[in-house]
Amino acid sequence: MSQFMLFIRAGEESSEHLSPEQIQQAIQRYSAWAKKLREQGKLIAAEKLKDNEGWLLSARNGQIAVDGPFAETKETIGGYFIIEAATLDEALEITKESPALSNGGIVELREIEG
Amino acid sequence: MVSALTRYFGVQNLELVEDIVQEALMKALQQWPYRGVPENPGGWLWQTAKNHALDVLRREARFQKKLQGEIRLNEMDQTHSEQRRGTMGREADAYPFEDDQLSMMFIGCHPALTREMQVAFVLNAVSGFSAAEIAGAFLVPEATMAQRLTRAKSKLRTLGARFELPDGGSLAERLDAALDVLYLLFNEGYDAHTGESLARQDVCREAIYLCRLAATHPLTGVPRTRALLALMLLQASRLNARTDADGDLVLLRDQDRSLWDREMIREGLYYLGLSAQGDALNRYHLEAAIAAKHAAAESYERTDWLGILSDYEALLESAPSPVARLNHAVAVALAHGTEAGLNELIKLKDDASLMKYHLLHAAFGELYERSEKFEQAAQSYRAALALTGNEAERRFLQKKLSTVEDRGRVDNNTG
Repeated sequence: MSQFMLFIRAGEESSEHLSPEQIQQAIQRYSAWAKKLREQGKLIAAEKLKDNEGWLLSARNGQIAVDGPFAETKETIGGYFIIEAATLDEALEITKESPALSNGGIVELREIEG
Repeated sequence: MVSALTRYFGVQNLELVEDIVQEALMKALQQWPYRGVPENPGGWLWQTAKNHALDVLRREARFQKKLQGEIRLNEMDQTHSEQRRGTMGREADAYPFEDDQLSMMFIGCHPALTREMQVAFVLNAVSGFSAAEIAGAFLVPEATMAQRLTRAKSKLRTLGARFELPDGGSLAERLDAALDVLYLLFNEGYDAHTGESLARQDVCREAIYLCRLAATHPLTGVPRTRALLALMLLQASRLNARTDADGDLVLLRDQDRSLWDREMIREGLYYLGLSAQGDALNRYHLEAAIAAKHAAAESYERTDWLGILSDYEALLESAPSPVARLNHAVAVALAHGTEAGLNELIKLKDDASLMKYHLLHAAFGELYERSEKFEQAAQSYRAALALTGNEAERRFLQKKLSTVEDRGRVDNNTG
């Protein structure tokens, strides 16, 4: 078994114009996906990161520079899932079913060094 | 939830409430996929919306009676937990309606609003459809619908409409308007003048849902409400059989009756039974009785047409309308033969509004076709085609037109 990390990026499609009905449908789609993983014991961890709060830290000439906070952009990581899968192929299949993709989002899949 | 929050903030803050609910839902959309759906999703949303409302109250000076607002929020908390425990607090006296959606619907049916505004408001504020979705279902530009909603809301605000129900006589009056609005909603979904069928089925379901709320509530569950619910259920039981796999219209005569929803029919008949209490009879009773006779018939031929005709006669007497006249004429044809029906139809030609109604011409087409007057049948179908924008109906009429044109040609060649 290997562990994989899914970085969720919101993408360009904003969900702000959605009607309450549509939001509820999106919640159902999203939750069904995560619930299935959880029930199969494949979901190790998942957290949503706060929007509108991102800092970039770097060290230059022994000085730590702090940039930010950055406003929410489409490149920002909005949250992550850590899942367990037997092979990279299985992890890819799971990721392809992620509703984040159908909402115009981008998901980066990385295997965790084991 | 919009309805529940509006009870506390008042109709004048409807837009604020809508924003808050939207925000709570957005938060759920962000968090639930990661953390899982909370055990009590409704409670979670309520808490989130309420906290956000408190934030807004504290931050903004737009509430002159800020303190009072906070007191109301505290009450809100109390009532909510009382509701969760399933007990009825003293609050129940102040707000005779347990169900906030029902109350919201009654606000929306305020007599100062036009019927169009009432319908739009109910779909938006009570059912949560967006202006774009409603515009799509009613075939008006989105901007027009957005404006209609804004006007409705600002009108209610200036009127100082309260989240309280009218009592006694005005309750009955408001209920009549509400039932009218529900019936309009339902028909809009059922008749599908044009466009996407999906959104329209939603409208149909929503109308049934709201009507069921009203029919099962002690104050509004009067016989005529139950009759309307029965009518809707009996009609909707045929929804699946009304179009074929290609989305083409299937007439009652040709429908596969095994596709009818027996559960809906059963519930419809149950409410029709309940609606018979009391001695007031209105159009919903009669229309539901007609729908029930169709539902009970094994086949088109073995339908109780004489019974249906007498229901239509009663309907013409109690609630005369052009469409009722047309339906009556068609029922005459089915009960007493094509010729008798045609004679009735011809009497309708003096009605200018009916002459612009495609189904009158379609009925003429049908009866002329049956009397093998193919030339007149073709003319009628052409007139009907010119008057409808519904794709499924157009395909259907086009097919009928081709058939009578062909048969007309064969007649000319052999005769």
